[in-house]
Amino acid sequence: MGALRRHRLGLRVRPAWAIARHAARHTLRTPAHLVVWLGALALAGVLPALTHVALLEKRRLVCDSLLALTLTSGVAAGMLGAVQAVGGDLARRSAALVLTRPVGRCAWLAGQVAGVSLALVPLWLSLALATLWGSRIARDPYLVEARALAAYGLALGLALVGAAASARRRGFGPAWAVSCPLALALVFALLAREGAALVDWSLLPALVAALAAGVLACAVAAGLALALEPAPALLAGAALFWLGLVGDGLWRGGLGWVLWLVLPNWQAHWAPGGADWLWAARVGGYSLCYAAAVILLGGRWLARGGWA
Amino acid sequence: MDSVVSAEGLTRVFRDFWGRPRVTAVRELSFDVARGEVVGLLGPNGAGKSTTVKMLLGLLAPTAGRLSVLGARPDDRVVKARMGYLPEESTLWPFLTARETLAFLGAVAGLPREVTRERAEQLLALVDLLGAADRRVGEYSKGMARRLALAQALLGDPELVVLDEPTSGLDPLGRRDTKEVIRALARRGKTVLLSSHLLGEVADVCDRVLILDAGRLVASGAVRDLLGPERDLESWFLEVLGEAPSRALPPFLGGPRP
Repeated sequence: MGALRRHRLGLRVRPAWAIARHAARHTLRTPAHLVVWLGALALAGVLPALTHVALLEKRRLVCDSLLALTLTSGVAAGMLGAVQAVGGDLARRSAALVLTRPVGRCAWLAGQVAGVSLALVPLWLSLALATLWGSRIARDPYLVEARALAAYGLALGLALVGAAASARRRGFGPAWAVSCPLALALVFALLAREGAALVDWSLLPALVAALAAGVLACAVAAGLALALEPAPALLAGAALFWLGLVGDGLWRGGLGWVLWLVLPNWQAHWAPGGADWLWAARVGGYSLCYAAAVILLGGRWLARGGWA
Repeated sequence: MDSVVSAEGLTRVFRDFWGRPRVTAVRELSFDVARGEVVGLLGPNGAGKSTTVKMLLGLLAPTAGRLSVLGARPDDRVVKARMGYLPEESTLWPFLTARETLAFLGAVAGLPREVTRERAEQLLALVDLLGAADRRVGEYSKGMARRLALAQALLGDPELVVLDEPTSGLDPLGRRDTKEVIRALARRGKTVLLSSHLLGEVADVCDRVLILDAGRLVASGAVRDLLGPERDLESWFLEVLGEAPSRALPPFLGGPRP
């Protein structure tokens, strides 16, 4: 009985995993994703110097600006990727090719959201490294760490490789799969040997929360792309992002409470000055639950069949 | 008769955002398709052919009526695994190569990787795409994309194959090869439901045809009974639907002035 149940579960999970891998590959080959990645990385290199050295700002502001950059670029890349994956499949009707196979509508949508979220991981990793590095610069602007700079260059180069591969219409999978862990291992080895004490490690849970914001953005944009064309879906996603950011100050009374509950809450993902792991886990759980709700509603919407 | 498809009083109403009926695409449609038959689904544009096909594939739920495919509801996972579908338009992913496309669709269908790989090579050879198997589909001509779409429809070795305009965009050689594939499937006992506007080709490969008009089944019959020395499928089709009056050219193209 148990074996049969496992077999059935495998039949459900395997197609969803195949869809997730496919969506991740699509997103990583999309020029818009690489442009956001490159732009964010370049800005991450400039931001600490600009804020700390040129504007003579405080350490916390340096870290917070990098954290905000990680969060917003993750949200932007997540929304772009999800709209392209879901909206593109519906517009070119390739969704029908998948849904005529033994795949449920919710499994298709869950696979797309998971895939685009997976594609966010390399972007998030490189920006997280840049943020941690920025916290070192903020601690001592006169400390020139050549090896950390090399690691940053490696991450930037990685994004450039992706952009070049995309322009030359080649796959980008193996490049990031090998290079990202390499870059990560290298930088952490360097930090552990000397200067780890200068890194603000409380930023790490806050960075995980920023990744959860990207996952939430993927789910929200995927849901919007089911009903709207790509441009209106992105506009609606941007409006929801803005409302979710300012919502705490806007919503009043019973209706306000309902809106606060229903609309995606981005403020929960924003932890200026760092956070603890329990908070990051709660925020991650919130994002996953919200994504699951969007996927269930999206499955019901797809069942209406208007898209077909 | 061992029915692969059985529809009874099938109706599909499309509604607007507020739930008000907008258009009834299929009305009270009843028909059966027996195992091993090649059936042509014909009709003018907007007759309800595509809606019927989508209901058969489990993409759309009927508003009313009963539909059974391979003995179960069409959205049943087990049934879906036994069907193959070639859509009307090229709906493939432009950023994937032909091999990647078949590998992805095989994985989605739950086929083991080795089986998918082996079948993909054989199907790419069948549709003459082995030489272009590692090129992106976005770089393919319309005919090449169409041939790849046919290959993906056969990947799961389906019992029921639904082909929507299978020869659209193909050159004469491609059309001949596609018809040969359909005949070969029929010889192997597969059931084929084919929707097309090319009546000559339907007559070449189909055992039976169904004609839809305004969502209703208006005629059906075995092809060999319908064709004769004086009558081809097109003349029968026009007879059934009523020939439209010939349209005069507008005056600026040399037609008569009112």
